[in-house]
Amino acid sequence: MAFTTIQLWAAFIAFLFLFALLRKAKRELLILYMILVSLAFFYQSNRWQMLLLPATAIISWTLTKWMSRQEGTKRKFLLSLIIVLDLLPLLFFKYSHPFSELLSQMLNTNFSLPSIALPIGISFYTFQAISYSVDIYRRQFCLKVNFLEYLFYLSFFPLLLAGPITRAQTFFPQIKRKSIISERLLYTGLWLVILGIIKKAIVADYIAQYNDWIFAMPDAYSGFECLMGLLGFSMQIYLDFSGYSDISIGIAAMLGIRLCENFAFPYRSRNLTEFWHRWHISLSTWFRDYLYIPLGGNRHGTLRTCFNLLVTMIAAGLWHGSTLMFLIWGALHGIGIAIHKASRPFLRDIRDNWLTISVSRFLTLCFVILCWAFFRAPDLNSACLLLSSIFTRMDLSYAEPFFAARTTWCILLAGSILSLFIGEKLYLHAEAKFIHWPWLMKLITLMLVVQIVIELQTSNIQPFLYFRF
Amino acid sequence: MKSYLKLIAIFLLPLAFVIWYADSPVQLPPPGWKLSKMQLPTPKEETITVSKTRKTSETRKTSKAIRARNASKAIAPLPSLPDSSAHRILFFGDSMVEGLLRRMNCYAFANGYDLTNIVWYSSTTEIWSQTDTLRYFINKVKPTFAMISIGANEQFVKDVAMRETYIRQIMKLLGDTPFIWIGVPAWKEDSGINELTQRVVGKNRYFDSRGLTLQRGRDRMHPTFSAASEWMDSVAVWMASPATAHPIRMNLPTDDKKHIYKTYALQPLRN
Repeated sequence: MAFTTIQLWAAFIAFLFLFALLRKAKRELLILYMILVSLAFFYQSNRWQMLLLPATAIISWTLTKWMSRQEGTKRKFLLSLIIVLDLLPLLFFKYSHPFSELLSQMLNTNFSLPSIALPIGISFYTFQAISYSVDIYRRQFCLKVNFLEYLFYLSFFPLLLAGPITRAQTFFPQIKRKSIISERLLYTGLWLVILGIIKKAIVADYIAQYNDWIFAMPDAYSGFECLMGLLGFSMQIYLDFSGYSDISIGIAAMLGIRLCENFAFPYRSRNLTEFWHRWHISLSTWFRDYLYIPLGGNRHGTLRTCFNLLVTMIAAGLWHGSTLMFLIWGALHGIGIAIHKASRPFLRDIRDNWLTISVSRFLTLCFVILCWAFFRAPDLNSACLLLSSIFTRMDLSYAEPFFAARTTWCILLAGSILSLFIGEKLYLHAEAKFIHWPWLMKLITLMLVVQIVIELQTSNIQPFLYFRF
Repeated sequence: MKSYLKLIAIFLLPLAFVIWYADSPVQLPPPGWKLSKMQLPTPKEETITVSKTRKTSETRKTSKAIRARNASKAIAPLPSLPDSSAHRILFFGDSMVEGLLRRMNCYAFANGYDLTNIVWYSSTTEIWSQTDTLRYFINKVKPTFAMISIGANEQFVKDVAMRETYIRQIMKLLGDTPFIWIGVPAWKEDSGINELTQRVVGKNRYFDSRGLTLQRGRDRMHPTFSAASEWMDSVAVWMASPATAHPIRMNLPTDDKKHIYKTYALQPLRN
């Protein structure tokens, strides 16, 4: 199931119409309606694995309620129990098969657990459930939440597929009060949905076709082509995921719920620490608050800080998948951030001017792009082949035929790279302009975007990259 | 409610338009290009029944159309005499090219051609059509004539029909460049790649190697170098004959000396 299919589009219109009718009705009725729609949506993607979600909600909510009334060791024990119970299904679905494969290889047996499809959204609602319990434990969240509201929080369909991981503090206050949904909020939602479609269905899906070829057999391509593939993937993953986040946040806004942004121009970061403050913000802050800080954060000296960073980033890497490649990707980022943290005293002496800012942005971007090779490549050998091809078989004579053969691809890639230089002010200005446009203009914009999607649509629609995590 | 209705209309109207346009015979033509239509999903049952009833007539229609297209290519006026230009020949394909190129080098020398050979071991029509390698070499060599020998690694594939797209893609990449396709000297009955290639490229561009008796090397598949020379001689005779779409001069080399032309050996792709 993808956000860009015609069936989902029609279903969303029907859903929105009923939502508008029920909006003035009792709050509980509206929540129940939203839960049923979300579970139906979840069933469509996961079939009977969908039952895991209400099961997690029942266990997590009941135990958390019990824990909130306890103190001392019992409270701590209950929190540990909740975390373990929440994590069990995720660990089972995500890591049992690769772990059994590894074990059978080590013991030289032919025993292996069958590979089971990962229920879509499990990583995201599990993390939301853990964050809720931990926040209650830390007394950072004190609002009383009934089971229906909690189930609504875990199953809210715009967040279900790929986040953003939303905290209880952001979500519950909004559903507790009778919110007035302004026209401005509705059209902000529409703006984000249109922006998301442009990013995901127009640019990311189109450039993905070529990237897939390159990563499938990097040794068949020249260094220049491999570089283009790597650049293409770097833009693809950003546009794909930030496009999805825009659509999610936009739909939530149309339903009267404001969510925090998940991407804030990450490729303009001046260092890796800043990059992780701007990239997949909901995940990076989750790991910061629920893993890095409990590990000791930066409170025990430089060496321990570096170690904590490395462990956190490796965990973040493994969250994406149980392969060696994700581990390497996480470790590289961990090492990068640790080096940056350790060298901060020296970096402070360097004055900020356009040259130092540009150089630091460029170096950070290069490092991030280099790391994407490990994230996307199917194995270490492919990643090494790709990188060695870029560094040893670079032949710029490919550039001209490449541009001639893939003009649209090059234009889309160049356009998306140039869009990174759009200032935040200009972006906000464009958003405000769109909101104040006449209704007809908004309609024409959406029609135009939809037609461009149809024009560029590939026969195989690319699923959202973050579905599989 | 009013704001919601306006918002719903913004989503509903494009959807209605897309569905109407996809289903209607109307073609909206903005200047210079036609507006594409969205492919509407069809209910599964309907697809099955429709495909059952339509299949035979549609297949007949398609194959008729293909035959008609091929026939029109085949009937294209044949040059009365072999083209005597000093061609830049691009000879590419799988490991079979390795055997043929030695003798082809002699032909190129004897006839004043500039020859570039590319041997891509274990390659297939899929690999040649889906990668940029061919495009790169076409751009580099700018051939005026092409020789192809691909198919040895696809003799026993099950999805032969799929290969048609790849062969057509290779032809598309070659554009207007005249070419010949040297068929696989099959050592046992294949699953249809020779038939398919012949149908797609046309008989006048396809050299059928199946009738040849060639001495095989140790692997029992590739012809020995001397057998491959004989094979190339047969191809050369056919290339100069009016049976081909674009005959070129292929005078017999006066000697059997080794002549060196640019040869690229590409390693097999890993899975």
